[in-house]
Amino acid sequence: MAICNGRSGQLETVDADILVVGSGAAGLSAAVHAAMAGANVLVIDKGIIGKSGSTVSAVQSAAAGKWSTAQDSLEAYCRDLLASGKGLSDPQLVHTFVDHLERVLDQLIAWGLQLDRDASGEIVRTEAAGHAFARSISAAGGNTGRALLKTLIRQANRLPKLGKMPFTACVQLLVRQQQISGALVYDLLHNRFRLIRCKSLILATGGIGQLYHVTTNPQQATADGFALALRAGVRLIDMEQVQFYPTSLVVPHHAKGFCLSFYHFAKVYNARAERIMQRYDPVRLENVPRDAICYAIAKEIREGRCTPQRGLLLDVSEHVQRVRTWFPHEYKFLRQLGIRLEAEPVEIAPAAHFMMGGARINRAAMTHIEQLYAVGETAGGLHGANRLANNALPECLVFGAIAGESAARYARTASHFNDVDGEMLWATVHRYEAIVSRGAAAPEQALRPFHWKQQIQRTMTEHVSVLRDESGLRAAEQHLRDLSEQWAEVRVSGFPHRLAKDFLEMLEVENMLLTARAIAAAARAREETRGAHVRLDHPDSSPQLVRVEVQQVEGRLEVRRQLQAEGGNR
Amino acid sequence: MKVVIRRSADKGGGEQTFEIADAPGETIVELLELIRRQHDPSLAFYYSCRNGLCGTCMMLVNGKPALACLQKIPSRLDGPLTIEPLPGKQLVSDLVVL
Repeated sequence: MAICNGRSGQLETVDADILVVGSGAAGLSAAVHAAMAGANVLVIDKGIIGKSGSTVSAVQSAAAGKWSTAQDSLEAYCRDLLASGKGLSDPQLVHTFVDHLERVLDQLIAWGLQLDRDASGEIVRTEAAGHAFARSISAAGGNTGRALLKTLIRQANRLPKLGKMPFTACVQLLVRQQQISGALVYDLLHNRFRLIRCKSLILATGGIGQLYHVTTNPQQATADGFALALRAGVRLIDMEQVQFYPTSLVVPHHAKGFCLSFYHFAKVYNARAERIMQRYDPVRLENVPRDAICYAIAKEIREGRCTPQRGLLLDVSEHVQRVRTWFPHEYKFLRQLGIRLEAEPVEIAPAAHFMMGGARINRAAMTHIEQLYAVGETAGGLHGANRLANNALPECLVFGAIAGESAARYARTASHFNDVDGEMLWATVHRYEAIVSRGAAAPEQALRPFHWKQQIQRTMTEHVSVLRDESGLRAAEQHLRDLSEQWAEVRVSGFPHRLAKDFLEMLEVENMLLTARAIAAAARAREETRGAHVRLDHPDSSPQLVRVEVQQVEGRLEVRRQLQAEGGNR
Repeated sequence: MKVVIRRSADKGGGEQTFEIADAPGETIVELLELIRRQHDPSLAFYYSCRNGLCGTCMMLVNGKPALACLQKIPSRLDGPLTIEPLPGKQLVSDLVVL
C-alpha cells in the first residue's frame, strides 16, 4: 500500500529530500554539503544534535595536500592506508578518500575552522604511528572534534533548508524493491512514532563501543546503524575487525576507557617492570600501529603479568612537556583525577574503540540499496584490518560530503517518493506497542533493557575482545542467542514519560544484540589472525585473502567468505 | 544519603527526595543512573562523552554548575545533596537542557 503525505492512521508524516541519521562529523558533513547543493535535508539524532557521538572526543585529524607537509604525497598516504589495512582496505575507497580530503578541509577552513599554529604561525603537524609523514593537524588546542562540530553546526544554522530533530531515534529503514523510501522514527520527547519519507537516506550513526564493558566511546555508541542496515538487507563487511584502543585508563572506575594518545612516545611496562615492546617489536618499540601494541598488552594481561586491576603501566615521565603541548586535554583530565604523569606511570589496558567493518559501500558511499548511504564509522572498507591514528575524522568529513553531494544530485532529478511498505511499518509499530502495553517491570525483576545491556557487555568483553578463539566465540554466540530468546520478556518502565530511558534502551538493546551476533559470527568465520582480529587458535595470517560478509536474509544472519585477489574488492 | 532532585513540570514539578542506601558510585552520573534504575525510571538526564568534553551533563550540584560525568559525589555533606537543571537554558525535562 502507498502511504500518502499527511496522516496515515495515527502516524504523522514528514517529508524531506534527504534524511540523515546521526549528527556527528559524518552526519553533519553530509547534511551541510547536501543542503548547500540545494536539497531539503532533515537531520535526526536520538540525543542532542552534535553532542551524542564520538566526534567530540577526537583529538586530531590527518590531512592531505596543502594541509599536510611538503614532502608528503597522496600516493604516500594511500600506501600507508593500504599497508595498515592488511589487504582488507578497498583500494577504490582509499583513493577516493585521499583524493577528496584536501577540498573538504578547504571547505571547513572557509567556514571558519582555525587550525592550531605554532609561535611562528606555521600549522602544527604531528607524527602518528603508521603515517610515513607528519600529517596530523589539530584545532582548538587538540580538541579537534569539538572544533569541527562547532564549525559544522554554525554552517548548518546558516542553511534554511537544513532541519534538525533531536531526541528522535531511527527505528526502521523502510526499503521496498531494493530502494529506500523512508524511515520509521520515534520521537522520545512526545513519545510517538513518525514516518519520514525521503528520496535518499544517509546512515551516520557511529560505532559499537557500548557492546563492551570498557570503551572510549560515548554512551550513545550502541551499534544502531549496523543493525538498521542489516534489517534492511545491507551487506556488512569486516565486522570482526574491532579496534581496541591499546592504552586506556583502568582506574578510577568512572574514567575507565579514557584514551591516552601519547603511547607512541611513552614506555609500556608489565607488572614485572619489563618494557614489553622489547620482546614484541624490538625495533619500533611502542611506536607501532594500534593493532600491534594492543596485541602485546592483551597478551601480557592474559598471561597474568599485570596489576591487580588487570592493567599495565604507561610511563611518559621523560616527555611530559610533549603531552602538555600536544594533548592538553588529556594532561588536564589526568590532573583532575589526581594522576601526575611526572611522578608516576598510569595504569592502562585496551578499551573498545572503533569498528573498522560496516556497511559495504561504493565510491559514492552508497550501499547496494538504491539511495541508501552509509558514512563514517557505520561504513566499512576504508580502514580494513586496522585504522590508523587520526583517520576517523577525515573519513567522516570526506564520505559525509560525498554522500551529501550525491544524494543532493539525485534529489534534483527524482520527482517523487517511493511507496512505503505500510505493512512492514505497522507491524513494527504494533510490536513495540505490545511491549509497552505489558506495563512496567517490578523492581525486583531483571526485565528492564539495561539488564540485557549488561549481559551483552559481559559476553562480548569475555569472548569477543582482543584475543579470540573458536570455543569462546561459540560461547558468545550461544549466550547472545539465549539473550535474544529471553528478550520476549522485556518490559519498559517509566513509559510514557518524556525522555525516560527505558524505551530508547529497548531500541538500543535490539540493535546491540543483532550487531553483536554479526561481530561474533564474522569473527568465527575468519579463521586466521589479521590486523585487529586475533585468533589464538589461528595465530598466523592465511596466504589466501578472504573477505567476510554478513547479511540478514529472511530474518537469519548469513555469513559468507569470499576469496579475493590481493588488493581487489569488487 | 539523601538526594533531592528538582523535577520539571511534566514530571509533576517540585523537589523529590530519594533515600539512597546502596553504593551510589563515584560520580553524579553514576548516582543518577542508580536512581533511574532502582528508584524512579521516569527520571530524565543526559550525558554523552563521559570525559568532560561535550558539556551536555552540566547541572547544578548543591547550587554550583558541575559536569555530572566528572563531579564526584561529596563524601561529607551537612545536608542533602541537591541536583537541579542548569538555569538559563531551555529546559527539556528534569535535568536535561538544550
